Amino acid sequence: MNNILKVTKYQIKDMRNSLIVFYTVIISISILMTILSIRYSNNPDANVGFGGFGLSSAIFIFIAGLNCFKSNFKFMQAYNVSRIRFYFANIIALIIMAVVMAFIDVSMNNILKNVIPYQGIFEQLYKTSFILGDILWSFGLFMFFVSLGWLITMIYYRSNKVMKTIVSILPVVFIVLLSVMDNLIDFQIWNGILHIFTKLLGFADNLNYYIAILSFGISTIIIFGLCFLMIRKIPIRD
Amino acid sequence: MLLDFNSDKPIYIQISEAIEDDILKDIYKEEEQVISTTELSVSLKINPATARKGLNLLVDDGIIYKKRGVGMFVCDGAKDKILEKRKKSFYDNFISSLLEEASKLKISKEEIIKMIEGGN
Amino acid sequence: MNSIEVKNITKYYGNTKALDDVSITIEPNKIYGLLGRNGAGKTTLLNLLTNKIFPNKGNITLDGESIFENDKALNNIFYMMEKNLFPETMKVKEVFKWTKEFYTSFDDDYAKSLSGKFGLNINKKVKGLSTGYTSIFKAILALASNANVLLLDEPVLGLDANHRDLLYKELLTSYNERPKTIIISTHLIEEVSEVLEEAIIIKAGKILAKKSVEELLESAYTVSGEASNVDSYISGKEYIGEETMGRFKSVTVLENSSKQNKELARKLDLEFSNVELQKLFINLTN
Repeated sequence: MNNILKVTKYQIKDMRNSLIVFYTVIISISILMTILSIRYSNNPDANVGFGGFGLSSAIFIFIAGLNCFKSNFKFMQAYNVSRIRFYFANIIALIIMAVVMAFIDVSMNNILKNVIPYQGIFEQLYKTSFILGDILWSFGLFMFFVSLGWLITMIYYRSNKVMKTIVSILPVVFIVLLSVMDNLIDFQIWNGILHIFTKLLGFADNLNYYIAILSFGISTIIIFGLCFLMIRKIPIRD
Repeated sequence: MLLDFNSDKPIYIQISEAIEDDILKDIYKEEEQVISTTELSVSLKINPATARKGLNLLVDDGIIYKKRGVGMFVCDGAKDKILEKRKKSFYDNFISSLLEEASKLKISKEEIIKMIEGGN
Repeated sequence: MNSIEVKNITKYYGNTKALDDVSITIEPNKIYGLLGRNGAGKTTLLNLLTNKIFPNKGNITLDGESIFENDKALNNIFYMMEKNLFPETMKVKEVFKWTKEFYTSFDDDYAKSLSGKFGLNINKKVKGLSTGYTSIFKAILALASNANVLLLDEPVLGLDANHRDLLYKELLTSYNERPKTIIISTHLIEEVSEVLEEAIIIKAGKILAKKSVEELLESAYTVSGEASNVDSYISGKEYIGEETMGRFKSVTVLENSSKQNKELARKLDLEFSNVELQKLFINLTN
């Protein structure tokens, strides 16, 4: 366990700086928005209100997921760290990161909405500001995105040039084909997909965010399972 | 100590001969400590096993001896032993090849003796 | 004790066979030279010993335990790779700090004193180091790691003569103080040959010879003299590396030097000399 945590320590240290930069920017923007909204709050024509940072946090953590593997894995290989040890250490690091970000985001949501007209993404979607719900939901969302980023970067790492191109183009081709086919059958596919997402995110059942949390959890576990298959016997390469 | 890595002689023999030379030249006096395996290995950039082999050759000949945990020391009477040994090999190494070369050049025994005595 | 057993290892890269049914035993506390031409399979073998890549067939054990994904076993080995695996924006001194985390017996003071001796600026970033200093930096990590097994892949790459000299001396100092298993993979054989205790010669993915350097050198000798006389001496013998200059000829005879026929040589006016490891290597791997 101690050995795993050493790797986790490095992973956290590697993510820390970009996390600090990210929140410095976000907090600066928040302060700017607060100043603007206080200055113009007397003017009834100006309606300064803005949505949550949840989405930018999700994008940030997705990119963090994309960056958590290649150079880190190589560095750990310099110390002969096994793949399985890196795997578990990285999962712990990603969980820590998602927890920290969920707490910061939810705290910021609750501070901001007391000073300016503001709604976090969770409140916008589920019409409730239950703090524990927000934290769990944000955590689930972040786990999903960060694990997805990690999986994608490993697929790329394992692919040769031809495979890389195929992997990159495939989603686009798939979506285009789907759209073309969809046109012929009255958009049933898109509607179907939309319906599935509505279900999975709990919108279909009286905005039940617990269903969303469960969906995030299950998909994250599936993605981590795929990551495990990817990292087994992954070779060192440039 | 200088070694000739291209020589016909194995390195460990060169080492033992070089130490013998040093004893003959009184660089190492009797009952004095000689160079260690580590020093030999590092300064000559050779594997310590080779250095050890060279020193052990001298131990076997009774020229140096091991003091546990301290190092190798020159034996009493080592110089005489080396002289005796060298004299024995003097004929094989020098005289026989001298005579061989001389016979190729058709130099007579008298001429050789004259050369040694300093007259041409 | 850390003895390494390589059993029937075969490794393919695509359709190319990089290693072909290789089996060797690495005994503890010896300095080995892994000698082979470019592409012979030296790095592949070292990569396999540390799980950088995995074999198609065969297995590798350290003290009887499989090294496959075995953190405990692999922590005994420090592998100085030719490729750089360290984060490029990390400073040398930070790498020292992290190495201490993963190799708990890493000697930070020793690493710093070696850096001083070689003139390595530890405040520099890894990417700012020249080829020579990258080698020095990685070699210092290996020396200071205090691991029981050091695998050094081309450790003197890009080093000038003074630094090569210093590196061999430091390596031997550390080895004398605390014996360990060292495998040096190199094609600069001449200057390393006396440092080695055993040589492993590898050619086209196969082990050609694994012997003590002494035995290897005794296993052949050079005979030279007038060409037709040399020819009559070597008739019926196995030989390599024929070299002629005018009517003079020299040949490396593949038989133990104790079997030299001195009588015949004298009659034919031939001379014997020892074969150099470098020469023997070139002839064997050609």
